Amino acid sequence: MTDKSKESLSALLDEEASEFEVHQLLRGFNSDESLKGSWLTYQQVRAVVRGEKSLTSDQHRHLHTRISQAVAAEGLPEFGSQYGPLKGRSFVKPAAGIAVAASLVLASFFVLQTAESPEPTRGMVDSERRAPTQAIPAQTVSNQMKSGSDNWATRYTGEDVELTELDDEKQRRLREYLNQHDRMVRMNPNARMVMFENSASE
Amino acid sequence: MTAQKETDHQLVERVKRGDKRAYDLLVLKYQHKIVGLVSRYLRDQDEVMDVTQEAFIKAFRALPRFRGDSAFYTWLYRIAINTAKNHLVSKSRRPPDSDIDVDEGEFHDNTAVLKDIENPENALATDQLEAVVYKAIDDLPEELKAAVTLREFEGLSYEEIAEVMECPVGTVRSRIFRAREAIEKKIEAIG
Repeated sequence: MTDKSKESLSALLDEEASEFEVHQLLRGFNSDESLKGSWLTYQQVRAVVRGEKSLTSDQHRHLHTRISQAVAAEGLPEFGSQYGPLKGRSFVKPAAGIAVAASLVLASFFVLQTAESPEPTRGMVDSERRAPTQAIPAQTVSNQMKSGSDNWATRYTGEDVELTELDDEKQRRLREYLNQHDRMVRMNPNARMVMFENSASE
Repeated sequence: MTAQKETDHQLVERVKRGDKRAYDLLVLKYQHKIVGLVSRYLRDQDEVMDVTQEAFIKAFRALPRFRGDSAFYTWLYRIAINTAKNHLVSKSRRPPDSDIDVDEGEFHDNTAVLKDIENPENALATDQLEAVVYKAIDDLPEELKAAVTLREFEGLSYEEIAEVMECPVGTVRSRIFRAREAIEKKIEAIG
């Protein structure tokens, strides 16, 4: 057991652990019995300082083992189609592959069309509208992207982009999106996209 | 959504996807509280443990019906109370007339009732543990003692402690952890 996992454990006791830490702890609890022991001790200390008399650590450990064994002996409850296994859907994987491939082809086509389009696109600034319109070969676009001459190009090349951790609100929204996506996929395996409502603040 | 509710919500979602380890963690998180709650209804230690176990199993079976409108703990709390009452009825004993409110329960002094489930051996161990914990806290370096005291005695969040101590939240987190480590070592020393 590392100090890092124990620090995460301490943070979990205070409801201050991140989602990532909770995930790591779940794996840790499975493989490291001492992590469980530390958890019970932390709780025991909390009970003492708050004046709550409780069972001893050993009794809690024993009780936890009993409950774990009883839960392990239980089958997984029926969570309905939303969470149930995808039975008899052997076509799901190939269909998903085709859907992803089709999306990529469409996206590539759209990018090329946008680059080659003689018509000004919505959102262009006036100077761009006045610029001579001619077809730009894909190679040129690629070079522009590499040289960083266009703002949008620089943004999407990954260069000069600093990766930052998502703040709590963004993490919450991402999680919400992923959960929604997961539910949609389970309900309809052919659906691969869900609309995420943009907040006014974005 | 509070941090507690959010963490529990994530764990419940994991259980619903078949990860029983997540339920194991929920049990670890709340078994102290549920034992405390059940022991207000029952006095015998074995009964308390049996009913606590039964409550957790019932909650596990009922998880598909948990919609997440309330906090997981509030929901579990209700199940535990009903399980304890049903147990009393099945033993032809009269359950108490009124329930303990979930919020009130957090701060309810359960010392009097829990003493009933202690045998002399437990009582000795508890007294010894109490002495060691308080001595360990006293022996902590000032900054660790302040952090852990503000957390455990005053119930402040890390952010609030950081404001009081004028240091980053990460430092608070680390100090509280180091304090717990030191206390744990002292407890291990007594066996």
